[in-house]
Amino acid sequence: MIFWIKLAFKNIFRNKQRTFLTLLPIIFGVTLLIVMFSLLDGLNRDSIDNLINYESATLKIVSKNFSIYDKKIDINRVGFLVPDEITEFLKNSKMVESFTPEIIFTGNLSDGINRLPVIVKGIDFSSFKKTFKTLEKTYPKIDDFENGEILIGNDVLKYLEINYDSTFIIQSRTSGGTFDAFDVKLLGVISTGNPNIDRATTYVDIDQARNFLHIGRKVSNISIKLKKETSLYDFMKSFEKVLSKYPDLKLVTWEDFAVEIKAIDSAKRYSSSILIFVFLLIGGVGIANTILLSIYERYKEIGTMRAMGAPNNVILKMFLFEGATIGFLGSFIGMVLGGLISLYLYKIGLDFSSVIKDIDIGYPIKNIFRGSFDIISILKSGLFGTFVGIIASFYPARRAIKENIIRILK
Amino acid sequence: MAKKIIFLLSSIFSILLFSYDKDYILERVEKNLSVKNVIYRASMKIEDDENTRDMELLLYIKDEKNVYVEVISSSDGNRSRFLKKDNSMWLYLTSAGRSVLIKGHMLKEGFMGSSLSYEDISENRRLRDVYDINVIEDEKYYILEMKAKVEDAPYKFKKSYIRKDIFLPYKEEIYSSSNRLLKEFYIEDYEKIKDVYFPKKVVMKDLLQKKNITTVEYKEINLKDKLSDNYFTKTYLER
Repeated sequence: MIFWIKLAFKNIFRNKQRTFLTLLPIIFGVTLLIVMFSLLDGLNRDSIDNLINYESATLKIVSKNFSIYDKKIDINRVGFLVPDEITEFLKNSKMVESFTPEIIFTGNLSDGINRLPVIVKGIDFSSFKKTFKTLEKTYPKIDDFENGEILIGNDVLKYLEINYDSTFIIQSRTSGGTFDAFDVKLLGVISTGNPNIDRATTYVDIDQARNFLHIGRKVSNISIKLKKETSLYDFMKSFEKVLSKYPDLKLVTWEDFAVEIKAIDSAKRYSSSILIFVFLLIGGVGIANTILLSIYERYKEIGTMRAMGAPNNVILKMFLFEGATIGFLGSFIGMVLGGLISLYLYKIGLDFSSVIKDIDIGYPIKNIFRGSFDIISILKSGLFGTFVGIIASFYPARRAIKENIIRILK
Repeated sequence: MAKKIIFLLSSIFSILLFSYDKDYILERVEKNLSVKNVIYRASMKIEDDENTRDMELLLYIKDEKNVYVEVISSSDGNRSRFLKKDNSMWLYLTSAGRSVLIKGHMLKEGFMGSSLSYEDISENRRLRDVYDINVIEDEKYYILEMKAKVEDAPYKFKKSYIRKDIFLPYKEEIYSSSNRLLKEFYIEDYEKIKDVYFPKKVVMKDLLQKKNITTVEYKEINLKDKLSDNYFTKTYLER
């Protein structure tokens, strides 16, 4: 084995310039493969974190009329009274870290000069703080949240012409459909990095939301955060018996909310794969071309070896090792480059906030794109490059052993 | 003493003669607000901070349950048509070539993008059925203070300033339950045709924005004896 590798190295560096040019597309292809998948893995991971930490929690109890695709939030359709039995179950369950009620409705936020459509969430400060990370991302830091106060996403604020401590008006419709409004004082700004929150969401006290909507003790959902070690499915199984008594209610998990993220992720992986495949195909053609040129240059050498009794598999092995070595070298350099870039993406990330601005990219991320750093994926990408080298050199090597010896030595 | 008695009697007499009770005022206002068998040609201007949209409208009103509106021309190319038949409302989108039933949340949207909602147009109930009304009076107006008494009232609280001479509103103010002024409607001018007063110019202001004004000017008003039912059909809407 060592002999064959040494021989392959010796042969490919007979023409350094050609080998270097052959390596380039492989290096580029493997680097791109590693960086692209690092970025997609990172986007996927951060998107799901942003979804669970700020929007969906681990799962929610909702009305059977609730749909994640329904953009208009009609409290009359999705509001429900939480049965005491469910509250008791959640309080006593060892799998539940915390749970919190939410009231969600749409409205207009006005400073008297501008009016913006927003999502208004009525929250219970203490339980919301335990279930979501949203309240850790407020400026200034807040310890309590009272009736008559409002927290708004930082991107909402840039459209309004007000100062901290100003009064806003929230205009919406009550559950009966009556046009009404209430005044709220700005308590702070929320900056989560999740565009769904930062661009369009405001938070008010749950009792204020209830009083405004005239919905009594109804809620839009109960968001549940499970303990880290708890499996989602174990909890759902344990809860099944209680929930089955209330046919008007159902569970939706973060995975249901992440359907769009997953669809976008797989579409992006698919399109990236095509791009990378093209690069590696170019690399493979380059390797095949280099081996073929090498064979033509060493025609007499191959003929002599065969005339002296070298079996076909030795000739085949020699050229396959050359192809594999070029593939490995290109992949190795690509792995190092890709690995370094992935490490940078993982630790620091790329700030796209000035590029993205208000564009919806499909992921619940708007500022810094972080990658993942996965040694196994990097090694797999390297192996893939080596494999491309072997496949690409197979055809030219076959030509070397198929040629007639007498014609070669003429 | 005699002077005092004469003064007292004349005061009582003048109150009886010139001041009306609440029900009488409301009866007159509700009656005057309902127009029948009329064709309008109107212009509507919708202004906000960024844009101004102009449109020419043709309106057929048989009664409060039969209304047809057509956008004849508009600065943004919108040529929608609108039909209110009984309690249903339909919007014909020329670009899509089909009509949609306006229901649910769509009722809360602005009529053709204006400050007036479809719900404002669809309201058929008598004011007294929807609001608890208190009437106060100043020199020029009867001021109707209306507080919602039903869950599905369009507004929580509104004030209507009724002109004493014609028993029609000059101004309407929409308030929130916390008493914040949210919208204002002005009817700046009326035209009298065959003893019926028709609004000439209506201005609607959304006070949640610095500049959001909808102005409707009625240019031609044709009062008919009877309007054909054919205008108020889906066939006519989708023609």
